[in-house]
Amino acid sequence: MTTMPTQLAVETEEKGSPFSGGGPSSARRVIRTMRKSPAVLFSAGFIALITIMAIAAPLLTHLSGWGPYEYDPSAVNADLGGIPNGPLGGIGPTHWFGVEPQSGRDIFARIAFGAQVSLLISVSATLLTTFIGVVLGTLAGFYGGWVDQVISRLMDFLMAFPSLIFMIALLSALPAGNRPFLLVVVLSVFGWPYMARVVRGQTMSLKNREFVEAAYASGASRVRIVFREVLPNLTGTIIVMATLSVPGYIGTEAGLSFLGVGVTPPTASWGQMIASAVPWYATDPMYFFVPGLFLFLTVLSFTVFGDHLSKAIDTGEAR
Amino acid sequence: MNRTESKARDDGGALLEVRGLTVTFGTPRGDVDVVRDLSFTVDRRQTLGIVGESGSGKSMTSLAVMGLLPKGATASGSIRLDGVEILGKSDAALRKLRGNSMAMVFQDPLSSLNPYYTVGLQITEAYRAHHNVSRKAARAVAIEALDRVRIKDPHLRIDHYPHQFSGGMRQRIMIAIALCCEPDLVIADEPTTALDVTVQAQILELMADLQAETGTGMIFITHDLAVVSQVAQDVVVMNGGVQVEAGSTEQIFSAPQHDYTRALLAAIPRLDDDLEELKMVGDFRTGATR
Repeated sequence: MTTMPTQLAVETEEKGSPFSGGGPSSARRVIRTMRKSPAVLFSAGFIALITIMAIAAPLLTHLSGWGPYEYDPSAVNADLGGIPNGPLGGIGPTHWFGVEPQSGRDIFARIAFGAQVSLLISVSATLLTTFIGVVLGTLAGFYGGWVDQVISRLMDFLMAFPSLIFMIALLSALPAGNRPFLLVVVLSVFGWPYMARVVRGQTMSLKNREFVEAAYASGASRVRIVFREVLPNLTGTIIVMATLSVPGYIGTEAGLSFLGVGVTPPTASWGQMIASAVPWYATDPMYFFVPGLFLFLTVLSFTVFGDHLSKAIDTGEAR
Repeated sequence: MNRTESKARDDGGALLEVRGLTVTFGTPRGDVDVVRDLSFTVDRRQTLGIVGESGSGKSMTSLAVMGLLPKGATASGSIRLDGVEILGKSDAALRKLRGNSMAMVFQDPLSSLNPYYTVGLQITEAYRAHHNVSRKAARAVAIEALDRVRIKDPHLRIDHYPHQFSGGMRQRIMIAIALCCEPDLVIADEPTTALDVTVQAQILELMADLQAETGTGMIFITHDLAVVSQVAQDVVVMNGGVQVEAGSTEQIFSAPQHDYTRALLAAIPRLDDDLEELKMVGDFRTGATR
């Protein structure tokens, strides 16, 4: 072995980054970035509020004194065709958000129980589509070849399919049964390709990165590569995609319920409330306004939160 | 890690013996040999330099030895590690050898480390892939490995992420990963190309020290003749997938036999030359790609 240049002064200075700060727990960094934005605080606050309202719905209606299925004939004026008594659709200390025309059911109670349905369906559909999308997307991206061909063509087929028309047809043909469950299944069947497509693309680029090659060279198996090298680097993307898909499912569920093929009465749902408010928009606009506002703010909050989350994760160097 | 229990058996035979290695890519327009009929040996404690320009088949040779050829490429001929034929071994059998008996150091130390994990975890992962030990024991190995590649405060640095290290330190970490299982053979594929000259010198020195310490055989792939002259005892010059010249480093540098080697040597700019333009290596394509 020939002699090497002598020890260089640089050697002693070469320290890399200072020791301060420790490891960049990337979750902590994302939270720190997110906390700075007021838009994030508002949307996160609203999401928390809706979630608490959904979980505590029975307790809250107990406090307000009116359940979602209770009729209150005294709150509506039968002589005027069932218009709620009092201004603003009957909003007052007994009925916080007013009452339904004709039946006199408490809107607050129906909003709270509707939130339960909305969140349950959208979160379940998100979890299911994320799971299917990640599994199939990783398979397609990592193995390529005919596995990729089969999965990709299936994704193309599902994404090109007129899914809304099919969902309406399918849900009206199926027996009533467990409607929320059916909705989750139908939404997931058409929803997973959007997650899978992104995961597939990212897996394809990740599997050709040098650290994957280095892992192979140190004797790692394929399973190990997928779970230890590829998937952890996808977590940011997966979290963002999942967060952004929640408002989509809330909207679709409301849309299907509006069209009468979603959640069946008397179970409360925001879309269904908006649908039944349509004939009353001139005489009792509050009946339309309240569920509309909740739907709008919920979808907006999830979208804003997801957008900011995506930005916070993307700028991170620990990706 | 106890060096006296090294796996290396000095039984006189060559550590790595490659005979008639040919790597072929099947393409729609017919087969292309990217490496053709290549032969060389690597002994323990010795470094073989493989020199050649881009596309000369250097990296494909190293990937063939590791059994990591990309899809569509097939290798034929014979590759014997410690007397055992490894060409045609099953993937599971090769996996046992990779990292354990032969390891690789890659060109770009940043992209070779997974940004998601601490360096300590990446060393322990590599170690635990071949040793059934507890996380705690593997951590001790990792700290020692970092110490061995001259990383200061290894017990602190072990919990840092790749981006918290400089380029030279990252390459030391890659070397630590490659050496943690005490491989008999290390393939370094342009390990200093992405580093600046001063850091390059430190890394070469470190690799030489570690080789003297562990007795590993090494294949050093580079296009930098100056580097080869420093580290290698023997040199193979490749062009267009074929070996144009092989011999001891002194022989190649003092009395090159082949025109291509002479052209390569002539292309090294010298400080005392009065040149208007740099000399180019002409078209010496002799291999299968026409």
